[in-house]
Amino acid sequence: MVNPGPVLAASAGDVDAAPILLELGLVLLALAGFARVSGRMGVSPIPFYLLIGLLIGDGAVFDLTNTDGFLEVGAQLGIVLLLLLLGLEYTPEELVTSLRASAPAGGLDFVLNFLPGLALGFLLGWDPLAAVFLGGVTYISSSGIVAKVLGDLGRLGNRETPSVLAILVIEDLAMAVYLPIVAGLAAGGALLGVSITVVVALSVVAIALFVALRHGDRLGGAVFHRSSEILLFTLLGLALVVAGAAEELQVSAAVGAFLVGIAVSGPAARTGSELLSPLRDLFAGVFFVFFASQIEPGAIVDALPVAIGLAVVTAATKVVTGWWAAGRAGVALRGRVRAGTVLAARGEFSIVIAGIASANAVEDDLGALATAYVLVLAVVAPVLTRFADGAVANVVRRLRDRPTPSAPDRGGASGEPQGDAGR
Amino acid sequence: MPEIRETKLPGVGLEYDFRSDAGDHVGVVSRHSGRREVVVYDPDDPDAVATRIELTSGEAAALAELLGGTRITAQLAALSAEIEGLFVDWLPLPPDFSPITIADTEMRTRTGSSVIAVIREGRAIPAPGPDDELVAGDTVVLVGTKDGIGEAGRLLGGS
Repeated sequence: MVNPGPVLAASAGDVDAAPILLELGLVLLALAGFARVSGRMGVSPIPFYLLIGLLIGDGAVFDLTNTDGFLEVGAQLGIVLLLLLLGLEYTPEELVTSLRASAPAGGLDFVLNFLPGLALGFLLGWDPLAAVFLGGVTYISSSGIVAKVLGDLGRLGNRETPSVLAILVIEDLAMAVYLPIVAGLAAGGALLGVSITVVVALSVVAIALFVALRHGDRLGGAVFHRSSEILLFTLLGLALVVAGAAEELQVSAAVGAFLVGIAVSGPAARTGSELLSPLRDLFAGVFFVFFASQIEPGAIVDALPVAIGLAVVTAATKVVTGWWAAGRAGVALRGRVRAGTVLAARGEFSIVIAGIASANAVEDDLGALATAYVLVLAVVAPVLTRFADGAVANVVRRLRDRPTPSAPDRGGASGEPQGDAGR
Repeated sequence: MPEIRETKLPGVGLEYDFRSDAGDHVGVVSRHSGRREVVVYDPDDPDAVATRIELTSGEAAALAELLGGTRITAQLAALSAEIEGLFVDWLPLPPDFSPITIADTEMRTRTGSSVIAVIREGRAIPAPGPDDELVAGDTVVLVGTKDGIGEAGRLLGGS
């Protein structure tokens, strides 16, 4: 083989650079292309990333084998970065406040949305553990998609938005408890051993949260540096080390990264977030592609009917959750519908949970079902929330302008919907 | 000043809103990223934003200047967002207020609040010293606990 040049010759072993660069470059270009399309359509790019993954990998349309190693490692980095940046967005105070104010709504959210997945798992004859994983997949709404939809539709100032955001916060906290439990159970073994592992893991999480709340400023101060390079290495290195340690302790890497994100606050969090966002975008994309590349396209088609049924049920349960939570905050009918419908979106977190299940070889069909499920809801939910608001507005207006029996006929139904409140 | 309601938006920032004399429900969404949204709520659907103006932090500062405000506002919002239990208030002094130095008010010892700025005729005087005088027509910017600020208000006789 011809020596590719001094730079490449200096790199490790017998790795042939050209095919890797080409394949990886094409995958990234594909991600870019689909992201543009999704942006124009006003849809989240996650379903498209999953589609790309389905098209590559064993037995699919394009069989890319050279990038397998990179994709697999990249996927792990993607999970760490997704959760790290999620944690960085929140301050410990926001977590405590949301928890206190919205605990009942959070509880309802869990009951209504975890149970359908759990029940379906049992109905399909899966292991109890697989059913618990499926429960997690249906329970958690996609913080990324919901935040994006709220921003795009200009609803950040709406009165129902704090209720929606509080539910997302509680879900993220619930993951910090849920993931160690399922990771411990998935690792298997005798009941006593597993119980001890889970208890230890949960204690670690509790201690870490406590430290984050009390000493977050100090950690943020220690991590922060004016040089972006140093801040980048420090924050990312810390997150990876903690994630790795967490994985060893069966707490799960995702939870470790999330806890680091929560623990770091202040300027370190803000600047760190800016610095790491591009990396997060890159590796999160890799994660979705890698995850989906492990699934056979045929399995998706098979899983689609069940996925659609599950999507309908769990979209309805989210609508009820949001309806109730916003109602508690004194929001009126239209706001409650908006809150419920926007929460129906599932996305990155459901895939993360399914990914952890796959990594632990829990139930072959879970990956395909989760992917089909997310494909449906990530696309439908944002459309649903946009459409539902307009529809409810029309109904309300029609009911209000209905001519009363004693009044003279006002000449038919109301005119054009006014304003862009239903946008 | 109208009564401003503050709502935390976890993961996004803060939202402030109030009702104007004219009956409009106006708000500002202050995002952690520095971007701001000025919003007006829909009279038909009071929970929903009907009109929205998105501003970068530079544009928001410019608008604030045009409205006669100062840059202190943004920094103070950030401050109170980060420290729970810390409140900031603007206290306009009544027209019959007799001039008194800040030291003589004994604000800190009596109420635990501190004067961090004085706004006089549209100009801000940040971090005034103990010998600086407060006169009628000034707006005093106070920081402290909720109770402390209430006490300070009573002490100065402001609204």
